[in-house]
Amino acid sequence: MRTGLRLLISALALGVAGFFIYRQLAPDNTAVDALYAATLPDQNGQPQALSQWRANIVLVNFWATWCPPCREEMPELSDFQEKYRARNVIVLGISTDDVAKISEYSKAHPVSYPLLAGDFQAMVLAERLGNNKGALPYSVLIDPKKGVRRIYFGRIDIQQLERDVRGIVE
Amino acid sequence: MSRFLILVFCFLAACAHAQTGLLADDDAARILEPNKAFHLQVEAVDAQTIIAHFTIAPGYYLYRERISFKLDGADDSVIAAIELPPGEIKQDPNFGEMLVFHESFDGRILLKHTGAAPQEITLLASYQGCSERGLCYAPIEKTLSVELPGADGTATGGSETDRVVKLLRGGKWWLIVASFFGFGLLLALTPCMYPMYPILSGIIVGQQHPTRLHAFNLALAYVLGMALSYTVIGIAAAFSGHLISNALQTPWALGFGALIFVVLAFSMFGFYDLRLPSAVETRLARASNHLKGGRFVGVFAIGVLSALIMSPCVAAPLAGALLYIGQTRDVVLGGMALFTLAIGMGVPLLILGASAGAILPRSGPWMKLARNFFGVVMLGMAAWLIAPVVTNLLAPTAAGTHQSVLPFKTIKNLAELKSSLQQAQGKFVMLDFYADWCVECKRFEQTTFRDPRVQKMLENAVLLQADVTQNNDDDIVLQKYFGLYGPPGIIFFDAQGREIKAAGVVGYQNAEEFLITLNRVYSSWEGECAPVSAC
Repeated sequence: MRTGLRLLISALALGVAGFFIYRQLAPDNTAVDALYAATLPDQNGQPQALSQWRANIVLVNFWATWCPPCREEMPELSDFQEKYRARNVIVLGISTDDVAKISEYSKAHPVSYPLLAGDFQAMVLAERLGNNKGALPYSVLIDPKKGVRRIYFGRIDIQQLERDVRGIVE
Repeated sequence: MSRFLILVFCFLAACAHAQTGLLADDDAARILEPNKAFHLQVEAVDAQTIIAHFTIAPGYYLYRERISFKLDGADDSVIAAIELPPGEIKQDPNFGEMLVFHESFDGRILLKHTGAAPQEITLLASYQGCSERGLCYAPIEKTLSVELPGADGTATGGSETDRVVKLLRGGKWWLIVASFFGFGLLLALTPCMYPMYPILSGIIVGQQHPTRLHAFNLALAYVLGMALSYTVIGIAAAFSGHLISNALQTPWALGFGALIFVVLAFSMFGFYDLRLPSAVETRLARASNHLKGGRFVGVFAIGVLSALIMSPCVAAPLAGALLYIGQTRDVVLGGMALFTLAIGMGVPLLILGASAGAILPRSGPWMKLARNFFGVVMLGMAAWLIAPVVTNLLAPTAAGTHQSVLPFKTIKNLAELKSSLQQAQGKFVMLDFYADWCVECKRFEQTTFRDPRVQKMLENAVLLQADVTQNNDDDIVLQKYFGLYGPPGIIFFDAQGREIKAAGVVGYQNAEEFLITLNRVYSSWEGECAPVSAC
């Protein structure tokens, strides 16, 4: 009887803890909706509604021109984009900079995916998508059906990313 | 049953894992919160200077050029300059050479107020950094309110001397006593007190059968002796309003102190037993039969002497107290203040005494060794005390021709000072009081004045020095004019030749402290910018 009681309490405690961990860590889907509700200018200053990529498997990459690790991973993300373009995958580079900065940057270092000037909105969106530390680069992999699949703090591991994407595609 | 428990647990764990599985599991845990990676704390040291303490976690770094400070909603105050350490060079493949901070550091924000300094200002701090693990943080913005000490320095800050004087002026009796006890405790941690330990240990170890109570009583006698010395100094200062710390730093006093140490050292080596003259001792012995504890009188006397010898070492806080006491001529307060100061200083000695009975073995070769060790320490102390006097004797440069690291112009009397001040119109003037026998002055010359930052800040100043080695009438008049009891003392004058009272220095300051003093001097500078800070 005693063991049974202990068991019950443990199970309850674990359940509650698990629930809170889940609430704490898992980004809610309204964050994804907020992302797709946004309209941001691209490197040419053209406003782009993010909802146009709603049907894609999206990797949102938050970055900044002043952030060395971000700049380091961008060529790799560019290659990744090329490799998976045919499989409905799109990378969106949302910068904390303004249009002038990213347009200057994209001329010097062109990439194969759209760059968007998030300006002040960038970190707000990133935070809603689980970036509770103000970290950059910060990437989020979004499955069109199931929402956020994985988040990546810091310099991304492309092999890990490819494994995660294949998990969705296949 | 327990197997079932494990099963449930596994199931729940798996669930939890599946839920968090969509996150980058260990990545998130590995990364510090921005506030843990970079911590900023600000405090005002005076109305014009705010120190920003940046604490940086290992493996993280801040970009020097992305550190900025702004004032929020302050119309009458501006930031005159932000001083940051140089930082380290980091090679960045994208940006080339960047200056970064991997280690915690302090920055300095210099303020300028058009009117009186406000009580509080709001500081907007912004800084940005990265981790070596390939991750950066978005610029961190902080709004910090900083309490500024008033222009009259009623809050924290000000030089050590100022604080002591202010506290005494403030008046609350019990507060003064408590604070002086606190000052004493702080002083007890300075090396000034180190020589006291071997002396006292020597006394206790020298006892045949030191019981805990006996050892404590001995320590108490010693501390009371010390306290008596300080009390007498305080009362003397109140009566005479005259140069006490000066007298304690003369070659005679230093030589006498050194001699005492040598005598104590040799007694430790066992060449002789330290005893009072037999006539005195017999009388004391007779008295002790009645009073119990004649030996305590001797220990008490040693306490008195050690305090006298050590007082140059604690001259800075002492000078502040003496200055005030000399001015008010309040004998009771002066004596009381210094008595509590000494008791505070004696606390570690009392602890040593109280523990001695338990810690120290009763006999054996250990005792001999300890006595020898303390003997050597005391000889070292003697050498340290006498060194400045000896170097003066060996280097027969006449007074007034000593070479300083700074290009001082020597002035002899008040008249010369006044004409120098007139000639210096438009420049700021620093007057340094120096004497060959002043140990603290030598420290000033050897450390503070050699610091390149200090030299840079003094580049455009007129530097005057009053050499008061002789302590003749002119010297005394000059020191009295500025309410000084003796060197080291530094007085600053503004462009109009007026003394900047808030910045006066009594006692030694290291380079860091002296730079703060200089900032205060420059910030009182009306109109133009300080010579070296960017505007």
